[in-house]
Amino acid sequence: MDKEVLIQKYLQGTLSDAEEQLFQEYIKNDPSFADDIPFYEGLNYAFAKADYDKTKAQLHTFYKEEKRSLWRKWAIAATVLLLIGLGSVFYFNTIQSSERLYTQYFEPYKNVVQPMVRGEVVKTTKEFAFKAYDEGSYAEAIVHLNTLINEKPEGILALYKANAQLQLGKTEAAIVTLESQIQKTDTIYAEAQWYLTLSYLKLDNKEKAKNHLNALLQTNSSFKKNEAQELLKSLE
Amino acid sequence: MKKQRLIIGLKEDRPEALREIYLAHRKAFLRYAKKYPITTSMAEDVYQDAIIILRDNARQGKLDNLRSELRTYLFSIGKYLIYAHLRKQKKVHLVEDFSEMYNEQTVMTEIVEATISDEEKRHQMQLALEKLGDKCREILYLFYYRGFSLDEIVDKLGYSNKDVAKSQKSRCLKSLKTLVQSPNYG
Repeated sequence: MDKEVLIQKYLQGTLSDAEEQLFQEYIKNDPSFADDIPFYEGLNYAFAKADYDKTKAQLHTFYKEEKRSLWRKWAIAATVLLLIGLGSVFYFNTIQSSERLYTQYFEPYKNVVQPMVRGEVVKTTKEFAFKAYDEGSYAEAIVHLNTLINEKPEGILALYKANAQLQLGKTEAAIVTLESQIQKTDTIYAEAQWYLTLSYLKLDNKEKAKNHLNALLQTNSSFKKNEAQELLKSLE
Repeated sequence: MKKQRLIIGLKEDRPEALREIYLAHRKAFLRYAKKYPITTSMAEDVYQDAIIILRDNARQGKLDNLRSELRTYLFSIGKYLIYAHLRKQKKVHLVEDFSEMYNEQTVMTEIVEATISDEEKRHQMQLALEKLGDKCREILYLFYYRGFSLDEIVDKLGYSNKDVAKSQKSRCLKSLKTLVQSPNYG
C-alpha cells in the first residue's frame, strides 16, 4: 500500500487492523517514515485549527445576524410601545382638557318651570318631576319627564331631561334627547345648543362642540353668549 | 428529504446549510442548556462547537445512515460537550459514553496536545501554510485533513488526471517541509 495513503488513513483514524500493523512496521523499520509522523500530525492539527476557526467565525456571523434581527424586533416593539405611550399621554391630555372645560362650564339648567315651595304638597306629574330634579334625584326626574313628554312633547321638558341625563353621566343619551326633541324654532334652542356643546366636549369631540357653539352664537338669545364666545376662543 | 438535503449541504461545505441548521436549533438548545450550571455565552459556544462536530461527522460520512433526527443528534453532541466542560471544572463525572460521536479531529485540543507539545512547532506550521500558495494548501487540505482520494481531488480541483494531482501533491508537500524547516525562505 502507498505510504501516503497509509498516512492519510492514520490521520483520518480509519486504518484497518492489517493497515495498522503495516503502519507500525514502517515506523519500526523506516526511520524517515517515523520521523515524518509528527510533521503530518502538525499539518493535520493546523488544518483542523484553521477549519475550526473559520467555521467558528462563520457561525459567529450567523449569531450576530440573529442577535441583530432579534434586536431589531425588540426595537420595533419598543418603538411601537413608545408611540402608544406618547399617543395615550397626548390623548388623555386632550380628554382631560375637554373634561376640564366641561366641568368648568357645566351647571344644570335651573328649574324655572315649576318652582317649588317648601312644604307644599305635590300632586301632579310635573310637580313630581321637578321636585325630583331639584332634589337631584335625576333618574326619578327622567321617569316623570318621560311621562310628561309622552303626553305632550315640549322642548323645555326635553332640555330638563337632557340635563338630568348629563348629571347621570349619560352623555350620548343626552345628545340624542337634545338633537331629536328640540327644534330650531323652540324658544330654548340656544340653551339646547349650549348643552350639546358641553356634551360633545365631554366626549372630546371638539369639532361638534364648536359647531354647536356657533349655532348658539347665531341665535338672538343672550343665553350664555359671553361664555360661548370665551369657550369658542379656548377651543381654537 | 430535508434531513438528507442538509447533510449533503454540510458535506459539501455549503454555508447556507450550516446557517439553516445553526438557526433551526439554537433557541431550543440554549433553553435546554439552562438545565446545566453554565452561562449563556458558554452555552452559545458549546452550541457552535456542537454544530462544527456535526458538520465534521457529516463530512466523514457518519451521518449518511442517520436514523435519528438531526436535532436529536446535535443535542447529544451538545450534551456531551457540556459534560466535558463541567468535568473540566470538576463539577460532574462523565457517566455516559459518547465516544462514537466524539470527533477527535475537531475537539483537537486534548489529543493533539499530547502528540505535539511544542507550541513553537505549531506556530511554524501555521506560518508555513500561510506562505504556501492557495492551490498547494487546498490539495494538502483535501488529501490529509479531509481524506479525499486522488480521484476525488481530480474531480474537485479540476486536474487533468490522477498523476498530475499526485505529483502536484508531492511538490506541495516538499515546499511545505522546506517552509517549516526554514520559515524565512518562501
